Amino acid sequence: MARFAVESWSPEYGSPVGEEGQPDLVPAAAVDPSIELPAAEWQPIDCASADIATDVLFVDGVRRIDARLWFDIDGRSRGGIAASYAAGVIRCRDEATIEQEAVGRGIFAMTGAATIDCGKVRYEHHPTATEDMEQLQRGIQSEMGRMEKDLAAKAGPAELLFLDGPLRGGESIPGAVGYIKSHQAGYLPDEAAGVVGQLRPGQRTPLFLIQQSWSRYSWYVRLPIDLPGHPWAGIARCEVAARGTAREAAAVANRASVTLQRFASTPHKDTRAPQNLFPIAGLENHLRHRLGDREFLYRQLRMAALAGEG
Amino acid sequence: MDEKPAKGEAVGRVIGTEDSTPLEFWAAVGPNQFLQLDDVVALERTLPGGDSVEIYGVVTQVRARHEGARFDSDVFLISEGVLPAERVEAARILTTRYEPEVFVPPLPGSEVRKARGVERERALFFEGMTSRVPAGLSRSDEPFYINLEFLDGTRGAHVNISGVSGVATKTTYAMFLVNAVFQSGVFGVEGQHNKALVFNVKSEDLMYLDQPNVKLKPEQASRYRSLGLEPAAFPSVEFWAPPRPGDRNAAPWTERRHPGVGSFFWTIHEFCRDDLLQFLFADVSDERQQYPMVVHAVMAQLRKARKLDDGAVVIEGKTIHVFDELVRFIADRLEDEETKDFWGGRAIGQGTLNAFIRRLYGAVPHLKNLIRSDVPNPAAHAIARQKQVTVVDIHNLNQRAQRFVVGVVLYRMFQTKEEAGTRLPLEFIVLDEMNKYAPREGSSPIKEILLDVAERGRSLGMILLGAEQTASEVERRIVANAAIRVVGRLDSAEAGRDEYGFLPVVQRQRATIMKPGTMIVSQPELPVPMVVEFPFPSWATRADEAPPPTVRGGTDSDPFEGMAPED
Repeated sequence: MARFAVESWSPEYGSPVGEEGQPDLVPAAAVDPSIELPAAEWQPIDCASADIATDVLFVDGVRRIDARLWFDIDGRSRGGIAASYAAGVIRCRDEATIEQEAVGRGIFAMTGAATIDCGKVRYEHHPTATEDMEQLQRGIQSEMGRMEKDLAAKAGPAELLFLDGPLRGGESIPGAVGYIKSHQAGYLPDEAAGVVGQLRPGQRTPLFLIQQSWSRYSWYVRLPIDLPGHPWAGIARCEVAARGTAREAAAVANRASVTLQRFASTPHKDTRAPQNLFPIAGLENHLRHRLGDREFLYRQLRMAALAGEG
Repeated sequence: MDEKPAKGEAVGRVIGTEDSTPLEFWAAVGPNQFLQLDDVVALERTLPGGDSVEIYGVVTQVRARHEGARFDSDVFLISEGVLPAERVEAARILTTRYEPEVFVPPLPGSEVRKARGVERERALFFEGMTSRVPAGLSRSDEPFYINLEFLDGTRGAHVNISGVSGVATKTTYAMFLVNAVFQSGVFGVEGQHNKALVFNVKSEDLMYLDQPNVKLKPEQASRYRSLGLEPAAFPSVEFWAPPRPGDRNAAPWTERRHPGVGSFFWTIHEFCRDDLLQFLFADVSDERQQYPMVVHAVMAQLRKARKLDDGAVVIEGKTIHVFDELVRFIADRLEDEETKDFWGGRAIGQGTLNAFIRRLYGAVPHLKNLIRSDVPNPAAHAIARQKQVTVVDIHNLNQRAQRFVVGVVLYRMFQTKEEAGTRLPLEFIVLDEMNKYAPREGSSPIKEILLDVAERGRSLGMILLGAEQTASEVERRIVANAAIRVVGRLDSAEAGRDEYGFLPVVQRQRATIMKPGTMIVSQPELPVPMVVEFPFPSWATRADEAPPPTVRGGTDSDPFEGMAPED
């Protein structure tokens, strides 16, 4: 086993050396708002006529850094992280059942680090290019994404499949609708952005095309909300891969928008209501629980480090 | 130790989210399995070093929850298919036995099995009982036993049964136990001489013990058989009722049942000779007055009475045949200045004497039928106790007369047993409404006798099966001396009292909703009281449960029995 030490600072503080992890920001992108309606004619689209899907899958994953580690690689101390991650698929038909779930634990560090076996648990080494925190985070994200994709494939067909979070190009689950509840990038030109504020629950914006390294159709939808707050309250963004025609994408958008209404959470039960959907919150709770007790894992890692010393 | 018992099927595992202790732990129930209240379970724990400890217990609570739900209203989201959640059932288990006694907690994750057959017998200590009496059935019709050694006086004696009238079926259960003891043959040859004395205190419930119950359904009959008992009436019973008021022949005072019932009373001579006067003053309030001194003085005089052939007496030259004559005679002696000190004792105030006389007169209407020498052949009216079971019917009597009868019968039995000085044959005494005879407060001659029975009866072979609505109103020492405690339906205020401290909290709650035919039985060896059902009585408890008289008419019933033979 490679020699390693566990950072004594609790993982949520980051590390006294090195950078904080950066959120996965989408760079400003070329956006074409005139896919469904010309940008100047943008107006809310009512989806009520679309069929509500009765067999829906939600795919989500959770991750957690269990410890920050220092590996002794070629005489140099290199940072790495030990992370637990889990993914699951929930099917909402008559009952909401967790159909697939899996837990993984990994060491994300540069080549030269190694798998750590703590006896009860085992952290598999996934080599990263650098010891940069962003790289390490991306490593976890990509392992988790792979897990999500595998599980979604096992789950079998459904009328709609929502993936919590943005799609990731070719790595994504085929046919998935990406569901994004927080808005870090403004995609729309100002004249179109005003329509978002006009949306009533169950309505969506026209589609717009985002072209980055890969293309996807996206739209904003308003979820049920009791008290109208600021213009963006209860707004979620969805996206689908731009593989088919805009007309096909619009049909999916209508159906997804009307179906989502049913799963929206209520403020007294969820601080991120209504966007944090009930099934996803339930799945996340379940998966977080499956990650295991962090204190316990942290202790296991430290014990393994001490054993490696000796 | 003998070989390991066969193992039952696994039903779940010990959980780690509730404390697991040597006395109590929780087990989650596996999918497609269930545990219900009173189920008996078994599990093992291997100690460092490889020794294995067998742990047994009883389910005292079961619960089901939605895991994944945080709010009560989440249940709607879950049933609409919006929120994922898992249903999980868990059972609280009170341990009954550790074998060997290494009191370590069961480990979370350990597999819990339903205990059946030999394993169940081990869990409930049945396998170690050298002789045992069937005391009921579990919900799934498995037999439940009590250790005879705690009933027959070897290591303990007496049964105390509490429960609300009507639904608790206390006397029926007492009779079920008596029947089980007699039938099970646990005493072998000696057992043939064991007897039971039963007081019938309410309607004619116990006046049909010798009649099979025609309403006994085959499935109930088979429950008897699964306990190793024959669903039958008591084979050998004699019935005694007080004489009908105003009847010169002292015919028995019964409503529905006539054949085979004798009438009982005591002669004036017995009353004088055996100090029965004290039982006329058996009310607890009597003891607070100064009567006892007068009572003892009068009794001393009455003992000098000379017996005539028909049970009448001659005292100080006066012949007395009936009770009111005797009362008048005593009153005359106490009111006469010359004889007053001699009969009533010195330095007794006139007020006390007057009060005594008033009470004595007050007793006449209720007791004149029970203390008399105006009927020929009085020996035929003594409670004979020739049969295995003797039923003494007192339900028609007023309270004062009831106390008198119970007091006198027990007093005589106690004296007889004391003189015999042997434990066997056993005498089982079934007495309901213990609170009337041995109330918690005060003292009275009857209470003293019952206390004697409770405290010394064990060695004399007198086994008291006492019952009452509320144990909190009965003398503590009597309840405390009962090795077997039984609880039927209780009202909730009563269930909360200290007297039921031997019941775990859930069982106290349960006692408030128990159906007739269900009892909680606590016996010394088993740390957890068990809820048992007992089958519908196989003897008739009402006229309409008995076979019609044509069928009934056997050699047993003499239509003229109870009538005084003509001279």
